[in-house]
Amino acid sequence: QIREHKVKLAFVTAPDTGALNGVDKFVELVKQKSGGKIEIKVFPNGTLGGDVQLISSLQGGTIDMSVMGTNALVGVVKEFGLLDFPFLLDNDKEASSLIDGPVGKQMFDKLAAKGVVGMPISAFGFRHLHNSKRPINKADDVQGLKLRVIQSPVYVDLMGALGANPVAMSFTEVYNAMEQKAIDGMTNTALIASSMKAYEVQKYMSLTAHMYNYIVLLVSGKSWDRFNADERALITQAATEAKEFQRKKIPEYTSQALAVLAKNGMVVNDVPPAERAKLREKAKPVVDKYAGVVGEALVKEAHTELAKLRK
Amino acid sequence: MNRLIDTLCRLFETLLVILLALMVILVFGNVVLRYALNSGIAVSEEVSRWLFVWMVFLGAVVALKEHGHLGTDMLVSRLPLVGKKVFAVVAHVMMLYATWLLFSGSWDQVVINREVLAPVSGASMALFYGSGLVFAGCSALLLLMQLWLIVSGTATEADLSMSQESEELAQLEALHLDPNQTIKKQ
Amino acid sequence: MTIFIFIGSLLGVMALGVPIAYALLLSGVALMWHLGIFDAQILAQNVINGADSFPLLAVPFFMLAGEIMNVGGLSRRIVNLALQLVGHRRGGLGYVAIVAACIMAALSGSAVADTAALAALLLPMMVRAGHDKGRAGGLIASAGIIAPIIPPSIGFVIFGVAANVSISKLFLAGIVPGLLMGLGIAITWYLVASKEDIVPPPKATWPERIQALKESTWALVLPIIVIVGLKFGVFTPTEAAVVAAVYALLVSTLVYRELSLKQLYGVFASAAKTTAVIMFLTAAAMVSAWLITVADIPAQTVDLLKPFMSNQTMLLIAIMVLVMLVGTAMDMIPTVLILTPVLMPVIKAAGIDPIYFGVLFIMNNAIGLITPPVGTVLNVVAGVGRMKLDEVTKGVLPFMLAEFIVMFVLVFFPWLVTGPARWFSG
Ligand code: NA
Ligand code: NA
Repeated sequence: QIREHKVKLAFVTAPDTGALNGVDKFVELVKQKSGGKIEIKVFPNGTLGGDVQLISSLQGGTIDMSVMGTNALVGVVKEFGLLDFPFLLDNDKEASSLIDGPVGKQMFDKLAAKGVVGMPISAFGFRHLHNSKRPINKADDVQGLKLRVIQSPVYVDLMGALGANPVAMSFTEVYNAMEQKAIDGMTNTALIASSMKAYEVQKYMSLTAHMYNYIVLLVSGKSWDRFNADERALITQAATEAKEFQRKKIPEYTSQALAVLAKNGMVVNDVPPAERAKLREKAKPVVDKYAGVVGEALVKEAHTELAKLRK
Repeated sequence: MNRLIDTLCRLFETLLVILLALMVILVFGNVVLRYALNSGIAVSEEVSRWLFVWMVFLGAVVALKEHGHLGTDMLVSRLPLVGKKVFAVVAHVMMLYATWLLFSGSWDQVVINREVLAPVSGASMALFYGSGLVFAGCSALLLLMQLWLIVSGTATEADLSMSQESEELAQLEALHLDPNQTIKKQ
Repeated sequence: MTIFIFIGSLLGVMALGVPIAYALLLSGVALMWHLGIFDAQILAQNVINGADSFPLLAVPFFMLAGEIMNVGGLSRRIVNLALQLVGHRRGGLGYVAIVAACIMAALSGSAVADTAALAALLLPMMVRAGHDKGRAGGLIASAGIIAPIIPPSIGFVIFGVAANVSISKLFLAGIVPGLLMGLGIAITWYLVASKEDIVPPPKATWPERIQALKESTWALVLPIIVIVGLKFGVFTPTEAAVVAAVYALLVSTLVYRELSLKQLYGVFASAAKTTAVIMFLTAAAMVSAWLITVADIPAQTVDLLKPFMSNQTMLLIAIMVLVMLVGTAMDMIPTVLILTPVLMPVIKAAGIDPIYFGVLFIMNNAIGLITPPVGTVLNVVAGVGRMKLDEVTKGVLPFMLAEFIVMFVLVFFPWLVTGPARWFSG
């Protein structure tokens, strides 16, 4: 039995990112499955607050849903930090399996205990490195580049370990800073690089694939309790279908985005596996440091799972 | 009671100066480090924001005491004394209600966030939302005292107005712009 | 309906004498009741997160820079320089005020601080020279409000945060419009002051001028640091603000040696308190902004303004007239905070450049500081100049008119704003 609900879903990025973060599909599916009874109103652009405020709003029940990257959840459930480990994943398939499997479940269970029901819904894919100085063909090419990172210790530490000078900066300042050469470049996914028109101010896009960015759907525990079993099943089903849809689309969007970058004059290069291995080696101290923070047992479990996939 | 509040506000004022000075040091230090040494203090941005939040709420308590918040007395100033008193009582009760809501909302947020850690510094987010509790607690005390003064009839006419017309007029007093002094060296 | 509940409750509570910040919280409460989502957490969360913004840190830093300039002797030297350069012309002291105001505007973000300094330094001189006191006071008031248009500007910072547009770009876009305001009042002064029979101060000799320039060089370097720093992305606006504050501090303590430790404490305390008042208001406005968004008021406003939507100029005129009306009674920052969340969706829907709109909007609000009945800057001139408010109000009218004309010229010729803005940011 499905009742009428008005649901507030907020996220921080621009309205047109709804196609990438799965919100457009999810909203459409919920509307379709509920016969229009469950109505989701979307508030993009951070009009209802930044990620930190949105999480708190979900816990307090003042908004119902949100989508965001898993790195925003590390403060609430430290285990999510695992997903930010550099060079943890080699391809999209591994990424999907990890978050769908027991490791992901442990994280979402911990999150549910904090009053937020979470589930994977999409991904921005692998983070690479673009800059205005030189292509990264060798591990040493990162040395000395002034690169913007997000305000998160693991990102700062990783860039330091790779030999770059990390500059923590908010996303709104980055384009201008790259344009004026105050920084050389940044780590970014192909999708965002294309949507922010990085090609206007950057020359080289090197596919380092050093991190993977997941997007999760978050539902306030209080809202979740208001839904009955049928409604919960409907929402979960819609999220799952949206996820499957996005997983088919994201590789397609990503290659389109890379094509856009190349067409607009950026030099896109693959990083040779041997050099990527060297980067991975340089990142090892960072991985070890944060393994202690996240919990050795979980890290080990993740590696066992991934090893199984790689066989 | 009055003495206690005066002391508290003087203490807050000193805290404001310290917080602002720390903010200057953190943000300016980060600029210098970035350009001179190609590095930076990772926590600078987050810590300076939190200091700012605390500065704003402690300063807002001081402003409440000094009747420094922005407002208008266009209507109230035209009323007879009795009307002024009635309006002041109603206004104080309403402000107390808003303060109570801020207190209870902040309390909920402190409880929710006590185990949530700030992204960079790793400090508890309760420390951040705690600023709302301290603000609401101190303001409630001040408002109750002022309300008592009005109801008991000991409030002067100046006590009845709780705001000023411009956010920056208070600055004037601090500018030492006595013409005789300012042009002394011309 | 929702929008009337918001505005009605806000004005009603303000009329009782409740400070605007609290009135905003209470109108938020009214909105929550109306929308059926009453929850104290909405209040607490938005107020506290509303103050938690790195760009807004620019506010205390620019306050600090402005106050240090005034107390530390930078402002006085700038006025002196302007005096040596243009003082000897017919009606010269008026041009001195305008030139000094434009230079000081490039150092400070606050109209009140600049006006107070100008009035204290120049008004007695102008009156002694024989200028009509009301007219001279009016000129100084209209020159003082250039401060929030030429960067740095606290108005732009607050607008940039509330509207989510680049503060750096707003700053750079404000330079030419601010100078045009100066030109507008200079022409007006030429027209009205030529009737006054005044003996101007003697022409300064070149050695005197060079001496004045030397003395004020330290102060003049500051706007260059700020503008170049912003243009080349060296600093964010917040960093530019802290650099300005530290620079002013160093110049007034080490070079001019006019700032004592005790004064320094006072300057910090006063900057912190003024910031707290502005920011508490800003934070309280976040509550209603959040509820306005949830209630879909922007969409309703867009509908309301639909008839003007097809014509950008008509829409802008309608909005500018609205802001002028609000500005007669309200101060700049509350107006910016209350109107921005309602107006921005309309501006975006009509395809108007938000930076261009921001410049017009802040200019309108700045002029509001000299429109009666509530004109903060008029109060400042009356207070510092020890004269009646009516006298200044009468004196300011021709200059106020000139500034409104400049504003409407910018409405009709947007390229006057967007052209230079592109050049500066490019
Ligand atoms: Na300025
Ligand atoms: Na006015």
